[in-house]
Amino acid sequence: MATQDIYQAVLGFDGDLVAGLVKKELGQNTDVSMILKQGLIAALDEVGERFGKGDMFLPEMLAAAQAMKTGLEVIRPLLTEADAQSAGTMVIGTVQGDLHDIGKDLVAMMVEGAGFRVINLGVDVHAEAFLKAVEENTPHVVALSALLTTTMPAMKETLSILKQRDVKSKIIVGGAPVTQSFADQIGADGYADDAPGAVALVRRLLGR
Amino acid sequence: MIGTLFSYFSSPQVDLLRNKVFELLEVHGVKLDQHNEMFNLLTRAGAKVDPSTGMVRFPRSVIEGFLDQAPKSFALGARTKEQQLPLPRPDGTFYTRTCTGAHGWIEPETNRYRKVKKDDLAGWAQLINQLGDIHFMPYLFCDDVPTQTADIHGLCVLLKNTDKHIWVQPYSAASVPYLIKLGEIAAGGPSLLKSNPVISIIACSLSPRAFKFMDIEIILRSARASIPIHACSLPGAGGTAPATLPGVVMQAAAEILAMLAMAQAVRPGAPLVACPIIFSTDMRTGRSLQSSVEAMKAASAAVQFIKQAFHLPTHNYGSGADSPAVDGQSMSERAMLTTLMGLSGLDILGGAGQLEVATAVSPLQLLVDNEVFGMVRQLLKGFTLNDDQLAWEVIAKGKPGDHFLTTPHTLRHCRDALMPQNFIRLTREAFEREGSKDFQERLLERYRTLMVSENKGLLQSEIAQEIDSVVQEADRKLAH
Repeated sequence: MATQDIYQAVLGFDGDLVAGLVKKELGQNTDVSMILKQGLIAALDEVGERFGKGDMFLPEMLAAAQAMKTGLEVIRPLLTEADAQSAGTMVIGTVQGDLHDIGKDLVAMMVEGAGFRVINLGVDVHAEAFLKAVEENTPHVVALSALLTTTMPAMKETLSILKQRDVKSKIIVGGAPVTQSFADQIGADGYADDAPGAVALVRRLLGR
Repeated sequence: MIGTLFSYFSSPQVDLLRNKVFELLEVHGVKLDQHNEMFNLLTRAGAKVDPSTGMVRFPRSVIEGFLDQAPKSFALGARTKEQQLPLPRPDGTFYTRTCTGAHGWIEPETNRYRKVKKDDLAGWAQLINQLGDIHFMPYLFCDDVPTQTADIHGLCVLLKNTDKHIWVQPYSAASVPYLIKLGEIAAGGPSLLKSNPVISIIACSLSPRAFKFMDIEIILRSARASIPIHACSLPGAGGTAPATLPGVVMQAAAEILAMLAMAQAVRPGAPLVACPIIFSTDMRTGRSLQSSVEAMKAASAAVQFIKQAFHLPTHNYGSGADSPAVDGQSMSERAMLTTLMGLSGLDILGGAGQLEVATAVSPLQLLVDNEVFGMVRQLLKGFTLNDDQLAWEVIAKGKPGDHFLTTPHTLRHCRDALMPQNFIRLTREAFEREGSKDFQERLLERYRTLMVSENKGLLQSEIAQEIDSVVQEADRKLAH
């Protein structure tokens, strides 16, 4: 199957090849949705599975996500509204006072690779900035990241402000010092301890 | 001690690496958060500062000048003279300190994990006061105080409970003036803090090659107050530093020299300790590791390089484990680390008592670390080849085939050997007769005995009250 080549190119971390193959398929009128789901997203799901088993390492997962993204950029203008929104939208950021972003960016890449639209607010994000992003994008999920024990209270505060404003998005948390019990304590809708886990969590929360 | 007992780098390699560090700082520089005062000081000192981007480049001659004026020996002070710590240690071995900032506590009686509380920290100080091979301590992250002033509360608890030197880790820029104020009160005033710094302080880079406002403030205020600065680079190989270890060593050294430059620009002669605390990144999970072979090796190499190239006092993890439990993995990891870092010539070995990459502590683990530190210090002490040590007379005049047990020489030296504190040397029969107590049970027995002793490090109540009033003011202004 033609999309199988795209799938393998993602697993081979070859972004140029992915983009080239996607263009070739488009030229042959292959369905865009098939390219997206059977070529690109399916490959990243495989990546997540292999990572979960310890067969694939973090840099490899990042490289695969990057390769997938190059293909996604080719088809993005052609995605129907249905395809673009079919997975959902997530806003993600590292909370106020915290400048760490490696884990957060990995989650952003993996969730985007799973077919979601991701708005990455960066680091040191105040609660009001999260709120503004929610108002502008109506995301299905808001993901808060913190790497320092001292910035975990900002996570609690941000969540509290979002809930006070009656934000309907599911709010999930993650980061090295964050635990399931902390997530439960502050009233988060979910917690994941790694990027593939975050993808699975987001899918589960949205019933995808 | 005979200096560094082994070296990863040959002299030409040290020179190459040194030149690359200077090149990195001169050509590519570092990035500072907006801090006009530091920008001005650095510019006046000869650095090339672009205030619009925060990029700072240091000409080699400027760094070399700063290195010349940075003191290579100074003391970490303490409330009592016997607890003061001249650096480098006069006997050629090392000092040690406990874990900083851990928020997890492994209960000695139950092995249960929970968050650290203030009472735990007070008990921690009481225990450390009685451990002869633990020389200074930082506070832990207490869960039962306001988060915004957790550092101030932590320092307060330690100042009240120990007369050993205290290492201060600020958690925010706003805390820094209060932390310095507390140090001044404990020392007896600002000028006494200068001559006898009862506290020293951590400043960190944000690897790679960046510095946050908070850490620039720490350097500025501490250099002015003559508080020794432990300039910490904490890169993670493969994450916030390159995956290849020589590159990590180079990056860490450059970040530390940038901090030294800032300190010297503020006050020439500001005392600074170089801390290349290197982690590796677990490529399967992204987690930082302190006791992987790669982390230990890079840390050791960085210490050796900095000592050989720049002659600065050094400080690093000299204990600790990636294991979350007081178990065989923890013991193996930290035994390797302590021995390696001791052999590397490290001046301060940190991390006593810590587990799970410095996020949790165990008082029982601390007892073991104290003992292992003592053992490694003994390993590092060199030999004196005189007649007494060669036992010339005893050997020359002794009868072949005889023994030495009853000789005056043996009698004179029979207490030279280090006696175990936690380790046993029983036969199996004796071990079983005494109840076959495993290592953890024996540690717990010793811990209980130590904790019923009176705490001899308590602060006078008048000074304690003054410290309390500063903490209350900090809570009013910072905690909400």
